[in-house]
Amino acid sequence: MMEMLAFGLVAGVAVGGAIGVVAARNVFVSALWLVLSFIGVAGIYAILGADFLAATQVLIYVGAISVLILFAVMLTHHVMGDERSNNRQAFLAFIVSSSVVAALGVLAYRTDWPIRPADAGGSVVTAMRGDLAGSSAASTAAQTGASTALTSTVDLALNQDSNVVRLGQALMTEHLLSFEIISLVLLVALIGAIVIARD
Amino acid sequence: MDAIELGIVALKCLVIVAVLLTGFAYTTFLERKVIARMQQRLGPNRAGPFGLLQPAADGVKLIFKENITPVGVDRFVYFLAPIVSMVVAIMAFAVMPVADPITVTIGGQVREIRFQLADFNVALLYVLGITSLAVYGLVLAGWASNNKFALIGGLRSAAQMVSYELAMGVALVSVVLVVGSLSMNDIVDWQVAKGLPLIVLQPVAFGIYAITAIAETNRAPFDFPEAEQELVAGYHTEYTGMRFALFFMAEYINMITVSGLAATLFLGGHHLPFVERFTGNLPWFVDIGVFLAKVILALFLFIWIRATIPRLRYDRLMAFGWKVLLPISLANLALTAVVIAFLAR
Repeated sequence: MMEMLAFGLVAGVAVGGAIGVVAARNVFVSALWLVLSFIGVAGIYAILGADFLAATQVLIYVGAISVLILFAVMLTHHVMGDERSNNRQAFLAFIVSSSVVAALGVLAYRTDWPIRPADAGGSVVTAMRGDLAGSSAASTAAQTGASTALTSTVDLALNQDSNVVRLGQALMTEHLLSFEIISLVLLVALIGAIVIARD
Repeated sequence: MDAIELGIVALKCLVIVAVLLTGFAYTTFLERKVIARMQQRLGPNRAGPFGLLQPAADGVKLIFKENITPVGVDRFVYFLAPIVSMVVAIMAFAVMPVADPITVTIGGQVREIRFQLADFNVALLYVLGITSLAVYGLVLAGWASNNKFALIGGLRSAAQMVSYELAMGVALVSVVLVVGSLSMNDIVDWQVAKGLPLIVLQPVAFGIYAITAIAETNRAPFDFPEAEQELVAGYHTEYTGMRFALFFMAEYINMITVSGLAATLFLGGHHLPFVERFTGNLPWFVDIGVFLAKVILALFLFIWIRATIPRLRYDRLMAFGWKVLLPISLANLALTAVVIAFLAR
């Protein structure tokens, strides 16, 4: 019950913020709505027990990227007046974003989410977290022997029900290739930005 | 969570707000006294013994001042900006541990009371995330005020924030690498267990953190968003009375928070890592005193630097952040990682 209430609240913030972004008449105000939407998304991560993701969402999207967007808007626009941010591509954008929503919706509907029914004492979320911690404890137990120092860190973190260590290990083992590719894409973007700035 | 538990949490919230507001009042007093002494003056000495009631007098004055809303402001954002500043400033302190937990018996039940509102395993990231939101108060105020000086102030704060934050984050990641946890309590416990504060192991990270903390709190020599001589009063030019006071409070509470963070991460928090090898664990009230002493030491450094170094030109900080601080902190991170990997072998 409490989870549903909390989810409704943060989901409302996220969706309401997103609507505000496209509905606002002023680009600066649009950017502010975007900030609200990002905070709502961070709330959803927090409800799911992904505390690391929630904190990085706030740190990176709200704290850094949105500030850069605001900075750029303040530098390049007549920030005081009303200026329609919509243009002739609005219909095209509508089609693209609705198909993305449809694709994500189908994906979310078809995926078999590992949710256990809430038992008498605990909530769904804690049951899920306990489940995840248990399965990862088993998997780390299988990997033990490589490095005692590493294992002790994992134990320490697992005792606090953390997902930071597991996230790091997943990125460095299972998802190493995608991790490296994303790093490469970011590097290319970085160099591209410098090249454009120097022209 | 039962009613008593809830009551304890509510009480902690009240205590944090009350202590931070008192801390703010007396930080301004400390600043005026210390700067006065450094400039061969006496400072406030009329209200009460040694001028100790001066903050109360200032508070009463600010409450009774008129709240002026200039023409042409964006009313809602103008109203929101000081609130954002203040809320963010207070929120950041929630994960700071100020003493060892104690056990008390309430109504026949033994309860553990932590001197900390909340500890979760990404507490350090939480503090970084929340303090990175502080810039919104300034940007919103600058934009909503319909004043070009305010706008430039807000713009500067955004530019400033982008240039120091990365270096600060990377410097703190080195600390996290050494300890292996993002939890405040783990970081403090690690320093006690090893018997040495992290400033010894990570002096470079501490130096970068100290510099960027000054930039984060918009203090001299990095006080570009308000730069009196250039921008009248920068982002809060159009604010009066209590609304102005909220910005003022947020600045000083942020100073207390970053000082507390420096004490926790680098100086052993509420413990005396080296001394406690000989004395054993100290009781909780000594812990609070130790933490307070470290925070006041850091605040004194803030004030000392303000009295000593003139303001830089604002593009110099950006160049300094990107071309000096960031490479140094990255090199420090790489070195730390290599040493840890080598030792783990």
